[in-house]
Amino acid sequence: MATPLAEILFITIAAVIAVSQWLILRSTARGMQHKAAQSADGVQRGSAGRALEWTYAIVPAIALVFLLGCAWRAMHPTAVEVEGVAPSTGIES
Amino acid sequence: MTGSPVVPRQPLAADILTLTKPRIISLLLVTTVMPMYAAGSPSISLVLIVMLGGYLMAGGANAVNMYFDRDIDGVMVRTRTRPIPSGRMAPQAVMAFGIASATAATFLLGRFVNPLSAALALGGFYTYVFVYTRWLKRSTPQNIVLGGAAGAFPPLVGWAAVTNTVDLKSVLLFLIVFYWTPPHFWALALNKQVDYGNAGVPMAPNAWGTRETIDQVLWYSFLLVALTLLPVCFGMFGLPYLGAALFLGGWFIRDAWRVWRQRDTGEWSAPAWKLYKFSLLYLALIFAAMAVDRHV
Repeated sequence: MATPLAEILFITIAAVIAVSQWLILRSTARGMQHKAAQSADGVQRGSAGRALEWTYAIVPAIALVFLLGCAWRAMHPTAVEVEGVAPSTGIES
Repeated sequence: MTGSPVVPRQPLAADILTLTKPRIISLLLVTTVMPMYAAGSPSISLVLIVMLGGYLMAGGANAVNMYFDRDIDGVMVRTRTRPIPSGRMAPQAVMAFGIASATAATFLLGRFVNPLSAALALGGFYTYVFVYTRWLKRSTPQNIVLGGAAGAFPPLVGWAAVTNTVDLKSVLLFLIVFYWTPPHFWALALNKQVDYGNAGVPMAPNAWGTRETIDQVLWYSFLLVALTLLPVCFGMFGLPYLGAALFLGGWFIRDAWRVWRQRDTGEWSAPAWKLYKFSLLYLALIFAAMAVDRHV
């Protein structure tokens, strides 16, 4: 089982990751505005290109949410996992 | 001026070695071998086979990359002395070498290690050649964010070579390299804007501007350091690793902060170089700390 110290560390890490990811997405939006302003044809090819850029930015963020979920689950194994039956994450805690 | 530079001839063996980008591969091998020791106690012969297979696979990917990028390599100062743009090797020969090298690596890993590590190494090859080089590199400033996945395969290969599995632990190592790539590469790209601009590659500093790129270098640095602490939460590593991750992470953020502090003064060039160089050492040391932690 996770110790209180480990839980505090996890919550701190999750908070830092969430804030950093939000700042990255905000900066990406600004960067895209900068790029569109510089590009002569930025207006014409705007929406499809922007959607793709947002996809590129959001996919890693989704991966992080999954990672944090799996890490939390590894810190709090179910009774079945504690007894050693098929721990799907392969984590010993 | 885009003509071929005057480059003294060198032995074919030296050119072939150049195709594999040995300096880059040395870091990839660190992130392959250290996870092997973090996962268990591999034999020396297993480590050597994985290193050889990893070198051949990454070297093959780098050669194929040089084939596809031969048009822009001749334009960029940083790459114009490579074997193809300088006329020392034919593009088809480089492509053939790359494919042969990757094929040999797949056989070596599949036959003498396990099929999973061979498949993962091949996945890294395809990600580098097709996802990064052919798809993202010339189309989006996020090229090295998603394309960075290619360089993050080595820990999966090393881990799978010992455990024959892909689990949360190895995925976490993958993500550490994945999130290390943006601050590392953009610190370099900040100082190579003219080169990338001439070649028409939309690196973040050229497309988004210097200010937004430097902002993201700092945010990604915070994210990276937080991620390196996560393994401690579920007992993957202990106090020795925690101490190293905090120390090295603090250093990394300090260097990124020094770049960020100069974003409006235009004096970010020297701090960005410093961050780039330290980031190389950082990745090697953080992975070494993982191996040491499991064996003390």
